[in-house]
Amino acid sequence: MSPADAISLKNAINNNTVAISYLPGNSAIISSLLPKMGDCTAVFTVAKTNMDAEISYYAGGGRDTTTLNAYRSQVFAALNGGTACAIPPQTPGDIFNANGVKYTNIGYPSNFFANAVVTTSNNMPPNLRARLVEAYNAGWRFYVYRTPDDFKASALFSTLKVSTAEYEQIRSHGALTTNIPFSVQFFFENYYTSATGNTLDTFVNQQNATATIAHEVEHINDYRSGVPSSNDAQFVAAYKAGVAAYNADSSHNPAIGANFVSNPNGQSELFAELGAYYDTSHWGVSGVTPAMSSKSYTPAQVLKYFTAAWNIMQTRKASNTW
Amino acid sequence: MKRTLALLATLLFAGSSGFAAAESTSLYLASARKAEHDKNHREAIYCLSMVLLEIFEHTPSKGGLNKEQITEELIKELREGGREAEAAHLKVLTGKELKDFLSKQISSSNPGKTIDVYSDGTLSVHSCKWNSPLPSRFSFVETPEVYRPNTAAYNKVLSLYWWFKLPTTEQLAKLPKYVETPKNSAIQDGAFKHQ
Repeated sequence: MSPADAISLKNAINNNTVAISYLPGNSAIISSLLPKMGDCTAVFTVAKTNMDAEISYYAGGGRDTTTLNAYRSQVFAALNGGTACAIPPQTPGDIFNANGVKYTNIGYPSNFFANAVVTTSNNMPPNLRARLVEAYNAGWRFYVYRTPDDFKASALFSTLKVSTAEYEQIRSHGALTTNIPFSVQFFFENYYTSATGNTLDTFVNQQNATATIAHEVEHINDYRSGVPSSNDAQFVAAYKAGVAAYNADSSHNPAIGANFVSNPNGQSELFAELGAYYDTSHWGVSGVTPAMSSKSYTPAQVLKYFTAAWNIMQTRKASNTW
Repeated sequence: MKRTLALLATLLFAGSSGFAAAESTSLYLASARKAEHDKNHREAIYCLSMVLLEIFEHTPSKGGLNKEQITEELIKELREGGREAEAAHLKVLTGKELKDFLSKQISSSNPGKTIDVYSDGTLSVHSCKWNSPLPSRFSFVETPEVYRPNTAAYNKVLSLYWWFKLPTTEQLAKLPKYVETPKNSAIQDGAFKHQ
């Protein structure tokens, strides 16, 4: 049994017991993890059976609090009972050394996801990868967690003194970077698809995965290149022209406005998104599609407004300035 | 020399984003007082709920808080904001139900939440516009929640975000058209293609 899988399964079951609306996202996670539980399968099966009973009761119109609490109590009793299936505490994480780029992994993502993240960074364009090695040596760290809940349970959450308000925002995002000095980045293999909801979905369903890794890395690149997203006069002028063009347009894709116009970090987000588009267009390994990180808009929709900024990005990238 | 270095370290820490989060209770409380004074019920409800939640989770960064007083303030703001039923409900809540109630208030009244409206009534809810008492410390790629008219989810959103007023038909006609994202923008590629 993998402790990581057991912890994630326990989190998933716990989530379901306190919020029935978590289904179906968590249900898929639970079903995929249960067969891996070895000696713990019986314990988790009891918990899941009671959880399913609670959900069926509620779905059938049952609202009796005593009955619902009884189901939940049985779930918690199963998860907490016995030492045969004790789940080891989380321990400080593994260090991947991936072709010169190191990643700190302390969040128990699946092996597949962690390996995909590492492979993606291995295959980045060489210039960008060289910058990441420099960044790592200067203190940059890259964390991969199974869920935002795993991050909340980690020591790093306390170290960063993440507030309740910040976590409310974090939990509904698959990838994020701390603002200047841009020293910490996160990826969540599964995260909540709505700020107000409790449905977990997978990173790859919600994001263009390779481009998202490139996007977050471009935030680091921006910082270590002297923050051209704010300090390069030509880029800033091109950004402002793009915003004006967006505002003057009589038809909008709202995701473009949310990310680049009303977002106070709009310049930084545009830099990272155009950088990711360039990177995925020059990957040098087959099987990568030129893309931006978000599935909420297409590159063509973004370039409709920000062509001038894109031209500057291509020129600077070609000369290895950025 | 050591004292000088220690003072310098303290000043550097005080200027960092970590310091801001550590002082969250005081910042929320100060913002709540200002919002109450300004009759900004949405922000007052958000900030008071946040303070109460921090007390509930035993993580307030400020001592000497009077939970009952803050609860009364929140009830008053809910009433003045037209949330009479929730004000009455708050009075009787304890334990997990209280925590869930506060979490819901924080989500629904979050001043950082923005709703864009399009000419056909489509709503785009997103939260990049940071308007919290705490400075923003994170960069996100934002995926707005889009709600189309005449659906159950649409009506639920209108109910949840009580502070939002749908424009009149005349006002809607002047707004931009909603452009949907082409479905073929979904890509699983590179090392992720087999997941």
